[in-house]
Amino acid sequence: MTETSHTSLNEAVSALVDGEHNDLDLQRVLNALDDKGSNSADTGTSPTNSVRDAWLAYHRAGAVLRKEESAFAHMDLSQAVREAIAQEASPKQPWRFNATQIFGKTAVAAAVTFGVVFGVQQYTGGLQGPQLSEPAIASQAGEAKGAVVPQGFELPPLTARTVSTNNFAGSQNLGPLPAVAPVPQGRIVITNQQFQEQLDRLMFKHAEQSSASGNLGLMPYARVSGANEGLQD
Amino acid sequence: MASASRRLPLFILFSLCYLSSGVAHSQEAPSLEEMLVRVADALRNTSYRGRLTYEHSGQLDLVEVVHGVNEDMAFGRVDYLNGPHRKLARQAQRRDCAIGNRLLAGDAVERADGKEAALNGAYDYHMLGVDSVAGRPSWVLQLVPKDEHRHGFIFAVDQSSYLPTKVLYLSLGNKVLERLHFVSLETGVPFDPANFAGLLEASGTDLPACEGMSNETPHWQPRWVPDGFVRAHYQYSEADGHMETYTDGLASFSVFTKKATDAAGVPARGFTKGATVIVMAKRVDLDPPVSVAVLGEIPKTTANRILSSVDVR
Repeated sequence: MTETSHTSLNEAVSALVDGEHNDLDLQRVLNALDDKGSNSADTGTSPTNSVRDAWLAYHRAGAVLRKEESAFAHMDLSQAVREAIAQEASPKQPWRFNATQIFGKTAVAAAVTFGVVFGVQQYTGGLQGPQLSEPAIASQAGEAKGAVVPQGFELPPLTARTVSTNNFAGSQNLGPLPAVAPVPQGRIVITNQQFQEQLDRLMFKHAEQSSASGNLGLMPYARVSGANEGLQD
Repeated sequence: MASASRRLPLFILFSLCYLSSGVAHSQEAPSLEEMLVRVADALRNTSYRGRLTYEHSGQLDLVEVVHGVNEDMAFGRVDYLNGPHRKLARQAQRRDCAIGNRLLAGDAVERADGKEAALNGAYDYHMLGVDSVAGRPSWVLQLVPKDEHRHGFIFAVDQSSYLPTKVLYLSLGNKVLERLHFVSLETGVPFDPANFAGLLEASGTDLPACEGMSNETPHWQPRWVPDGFVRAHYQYSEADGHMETYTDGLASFSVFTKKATDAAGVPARGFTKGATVIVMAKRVDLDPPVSVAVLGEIPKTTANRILSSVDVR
């Protein structure tokens, strides 16, 4: 091995240690490791040993710079490790068709997928009630109706809809639907007919007297157009 | 969120440009005090017909109003165009009977407790610009309350007739509580007796007394009403007991008092509808217990304070 090639090999090892190597560096180091037979005329060492020594030297230098020097840093365990690996039996096994293993993995994946899909549907269904049923639509419409929208602005149309791949969801929705439509939050429904009539009457009398007092002409009458519809707590 | 925050200043900018550009094309505005005098006069003396929307809490109602003036009497007719049942409201009154109209015109009115009430003592006036409402150029002004006992207002006043074409009620936090907005308005319409059939016959030929403006007082009255409010009306009915209506020229509220019975007991709670608030309670601390209801376009805290101040006269 010439001095130039030795230097370039060391640079390749250095780059490999630092993780900044390219394909050429890697190839050069691997070639040197495979070249077990040739010894350097100048140093009398094989390229393999040279690479190993350089590898150890660079790692030690890096550890010192990083203040990671340990009590075992001077020990070269690589030779013992190589010998131990060489004595291990090769784990070569002929490929054979293992139906249990393949179908087992597939079954586990399918079970996980089914569990996720089914679980998500049950979870969202519990929050929204029967999907695509009338009460759900009425609730959305009611909330949109109750929202206050500034002049010149509009609520975006409801384009999203829920879908289900659960074949059993349909049969769950076939039961009788609740007769009472949900009331938007904050709105009240007066069920006492007498009380409702009293409220209507008081509001009308007040509008009548507000108008008669000269406040905004006939405008106060507009407030009783819907009687006590839209009353809020 | 970022796009919305960018749009808001643009919206305000465009609104201001629109309002300010309209000023250049409008006739010169009188002073705000003079404008309110003319508004009060227009409400009392102008015959008009129009369609009016009432918007609150996302709901929109539509009514058609006809106001006719015949000599010293004013007649009103309101057709409710929403809902399955068509309802009708009518009124006939002397044109000089309205205390609220006098307050709106800037008059100072003495209250029963000796205090003087005036509109400029209750609100600060501001001109915002010019807008077009129902196709009619209108001045836009804002009335900011001087205390926390009443709502604020934004008015649009028709430049040719001085009728209010749009009224927004603002909460103390400047949130729009409700909007009354003409979508069509025709002024100077000739008086048509057919619109007020029945009312003309009932009013007779003699000028009636100013109904409700008598000094008759109920057995129970609020000990406290906000400054600027004057009693404008009183009436009694078997169903609802005593009713007193107070006004400051723009806002108004009514106090209903009636001897409580088990059957007439009402739940102690409050409701709101747009700018209108209703608070009801059975005052068992009075002897005998009295059912009290305060209803009007005032903040709920003010209504509760009026209710709790009701006592034997």
